[in-house]
Amino acid sequence: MDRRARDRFTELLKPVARAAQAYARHLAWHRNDVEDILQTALLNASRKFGDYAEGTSFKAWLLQFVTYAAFNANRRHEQIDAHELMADTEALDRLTAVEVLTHEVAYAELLQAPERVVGQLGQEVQEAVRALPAKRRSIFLLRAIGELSYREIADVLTVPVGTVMGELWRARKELREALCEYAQQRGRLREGGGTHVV
Amino acid sequence: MSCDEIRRWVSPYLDSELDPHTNFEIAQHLEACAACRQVFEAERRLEASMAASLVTDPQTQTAWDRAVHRVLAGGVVRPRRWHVAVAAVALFLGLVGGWRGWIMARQDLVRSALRNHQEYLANRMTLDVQSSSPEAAEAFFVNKLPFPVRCPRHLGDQGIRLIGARLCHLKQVPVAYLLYHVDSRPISVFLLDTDDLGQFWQAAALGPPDSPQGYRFGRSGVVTVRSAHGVVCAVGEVPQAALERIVASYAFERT
Repeated sequence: MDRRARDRFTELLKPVARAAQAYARHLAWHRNDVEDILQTALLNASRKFGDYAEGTSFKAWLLQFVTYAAFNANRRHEQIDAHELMADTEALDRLTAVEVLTHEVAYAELLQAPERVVGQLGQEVQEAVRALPAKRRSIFLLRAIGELSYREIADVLTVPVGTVMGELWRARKELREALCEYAQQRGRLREGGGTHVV
Repeated sequence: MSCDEIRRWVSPYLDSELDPHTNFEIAQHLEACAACRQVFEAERRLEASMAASLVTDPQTQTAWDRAVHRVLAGGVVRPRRWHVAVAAVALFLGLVGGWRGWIMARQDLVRSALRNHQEYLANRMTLDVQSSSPEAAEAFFVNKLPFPVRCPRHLGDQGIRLIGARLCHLKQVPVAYLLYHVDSRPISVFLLDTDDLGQFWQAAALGPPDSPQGYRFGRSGVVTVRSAHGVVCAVGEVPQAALERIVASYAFERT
């Protein structure tokens, strides 16, 4: 990478730094891997910077490298496979419950004051995201943190757009379900009062 | 659309991913329906709250700064001269390949591999094992093929990521199929035993052992090389040099 390319690369990094950091942080299974993931992603991105097409989304392009680096880092931990397999199976078993989630009172109460509930469950939100299967988690994070379009997410993960839509839908359902459970366990619901939203 | 139907679209609507017609229909419904409007607004706030809770932290910020410093300020990645050499080799192979292109355009092994690769791209083929581990891929092929499969260990260091493997057939000949990604672009690798080469027309046109042969079919490139034990064939929509690196690594592993 020559000086000009390096300057341009550095310039493009600045506005996407926070998204890349947050994405790596929440995609990595182990906190200790985050720095490795970021370094690997940046190194590979800098080496491939010649392939980046000006005018296209640099954020999407960079997050692709973060995704690969994170997936590779996560694979080093054997227990993850078992965990994700379990999460997948549980998700299948839960489909019926998820279907009826919108009719649950807890969900309605969550929607009354989402900022308050999420604010009080900050750590649990992160745990719920971490509990999602790898691809689902990545798709959710690319949308929530990266604010990428479905097409861009599909390109980053080389999956069809339909898969992105489906996985995003499942991720959101599972997260809402988890939030309701956490909130009920901790008595965080029914504190704000107000009108139900269903 | 009824309220239930409208609410099914809440995610793609809030993500601005709907077609204009559906988007308009939902917007109209929301104007008229206070209950749905309240749900959509609450969903938007919930999603925004969750996104806001998934922020970075000072520790990650520090890790980022260090990584940027190492990659850019500390260790400038210099142009690697071997790239020039590889490009020259690719050009040479392209020129040499040109005169025999009319033969190879009909070469059934290359065509079969290309067709198989395109089936993967069209999502018509699934992997038997999904793993980035060369050992896992090798273990999968044990007792499934009459020859041992050895996968290179260090392709990942070059950004060539193993995705998985499957047993497939080219002209009824069982071959090992391995899928790699380079910058999210898939590369199919086929391993054949020497004993099976007779099944393919003009197999001799694959060239002498350890001499990679490259071909282009539109955007797709194919590189083959004969090793001591068989043939390695790589197909993908990537620069020829990447395909050559892969087949060379495989040929080396199999010797």
